[in-house]
Amino acid sequence: MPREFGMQTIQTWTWSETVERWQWFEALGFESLWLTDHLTRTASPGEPYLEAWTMLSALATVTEKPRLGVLVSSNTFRHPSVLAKQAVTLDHISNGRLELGIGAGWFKPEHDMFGLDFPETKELVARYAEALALLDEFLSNDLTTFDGQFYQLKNAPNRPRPIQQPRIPLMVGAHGPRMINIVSQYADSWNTRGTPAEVRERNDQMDAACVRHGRDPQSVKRSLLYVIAQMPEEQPWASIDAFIDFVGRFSEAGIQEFLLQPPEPEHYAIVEQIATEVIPGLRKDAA
Amino acid sequence: MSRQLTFGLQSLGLGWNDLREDWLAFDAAGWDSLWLPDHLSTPNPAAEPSDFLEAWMALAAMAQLTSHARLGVLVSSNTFRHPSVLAKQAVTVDQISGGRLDLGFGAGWFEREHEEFGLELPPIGERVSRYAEALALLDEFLSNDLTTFEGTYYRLQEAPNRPTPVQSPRMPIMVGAHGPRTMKIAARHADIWNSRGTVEEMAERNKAIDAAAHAAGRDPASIVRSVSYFPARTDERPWTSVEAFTSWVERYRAVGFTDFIFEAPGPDQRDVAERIAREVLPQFRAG
Repeated sequence: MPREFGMQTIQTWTWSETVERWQWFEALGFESLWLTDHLTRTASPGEPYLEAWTMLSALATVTEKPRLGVLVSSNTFRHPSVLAKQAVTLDHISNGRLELGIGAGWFKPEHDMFGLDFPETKELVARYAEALALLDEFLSNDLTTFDGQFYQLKNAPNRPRPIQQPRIPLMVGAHGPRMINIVSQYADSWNTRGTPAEVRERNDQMDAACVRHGRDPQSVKRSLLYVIAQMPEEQPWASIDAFIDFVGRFSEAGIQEFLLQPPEPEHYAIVEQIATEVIPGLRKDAA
Repeated sequence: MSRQLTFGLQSLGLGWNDLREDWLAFDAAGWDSLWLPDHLSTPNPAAEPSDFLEAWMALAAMAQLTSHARLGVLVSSNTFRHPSVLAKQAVTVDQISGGRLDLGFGAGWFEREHEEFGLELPPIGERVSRYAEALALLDEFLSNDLTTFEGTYYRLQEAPNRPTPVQSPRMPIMVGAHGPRTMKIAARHADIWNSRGTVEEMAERNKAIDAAAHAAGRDPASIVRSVSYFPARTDERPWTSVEAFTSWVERYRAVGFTDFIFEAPGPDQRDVAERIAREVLPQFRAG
């Protein structure tokens, strides 16, 4: 499987900055571009933040090639039925470029600020597991009846069907063993972050979980999100060598897709150099 | 009371390519506003569900693609999204469109789609109470930097409205209201009040809004009066000819309406609609 590279940006950027930079990332050849799902900036609550899904929809109209997604959409923000309709709509607008990123939700302070329910962990995870099953079923079928503990559908029409068939790929974020076990049943791509040792351990857990659920482990793409604020020991944008070393170590831990938060704009020269001189080679030499 | 007349079009149930093509043409032809309904499925209890795109995603994409027309969801159902999430979506679309959003907002009504998609549709009393509270929340959140709101259903704690909308102090709120209770609510918060019905019904409701505005301590002239035309509701056929259109507008204008929204013309009505946009709208605007 070839290596892939994408960028994730935060919605503190204005609309016009985001358009300009996403078009530049597309021109540099990044395979996928991602937003985050927050209503305020988690690293410093109170900073300006645009809403992810509406913004992604408009971004679909100013990009042509890259795959697009929200990494990851919080299940606590929207009913999964509404999310599913949003996803299908964006799949049409982007002509089949959407990856549906979905996670349980985690940043309690913004839930408190905006008055959104943030259930205790057990219910949070149970709702997420059920929402994943609902999305998987609804998006793959014409009419869905679903009788869950939290969500119930009765002949819900999936019309129009997504452009991508049988459905839009599901990209899930999961870091602990319980979550990995849940998402392994539905994930087309699985995204995590941490040290190479942590990632390797979780990757093995994902393999085992797939086998447990009768799935080919290779059918789940292994994806890493490089979060600058949460991985201070990693400096992939420091130099070409640092980037190659970063990709090498996480590749050994099982990662196939590298989704990166970009450095501050004053360091974009190194992004351009890495994207044009280094990444083409890294794409090819993955076995 | 010298508001210039405005003329808008609402598209229902189109696929993405048709919607894009139609709206680009309507935008270029000079229609003042373009609207989508908020449904997850065909809003006709007697009809088999047909293709329906999610409104806010389609609107966000069209916000980037169009240049002149004002844009809105007529009207966004309070039962589909938490008002905080709706508020963030609205600000995002206002940013993308450069300040062209009208925030249409209604209580929600179509039972079948709520059942199909597992969305709660509370009994009418609670539904209207929730709606009134959500409207107060939107009004306050969108007009301020930080909002703390203590409602029965919704609570905000210093929720940041950042970035602010492009339109200041906030984007106009359009309320769809047809009965006495919702019209009282509209009179408190609406910048634009929209309804539909016969000339006689609308004349009566227009007076009711005046009275409700007085009761709420508001200048009735500060509420824009908007009327929608839907073929299912009346025998009138404004697209049959320039004269039919003009006569329809004149009769509603005579009972106090300044803003007119029509179901978008079908393929066999395009010639008349183009002539109207070219010849009739400029005359109405000139007074």
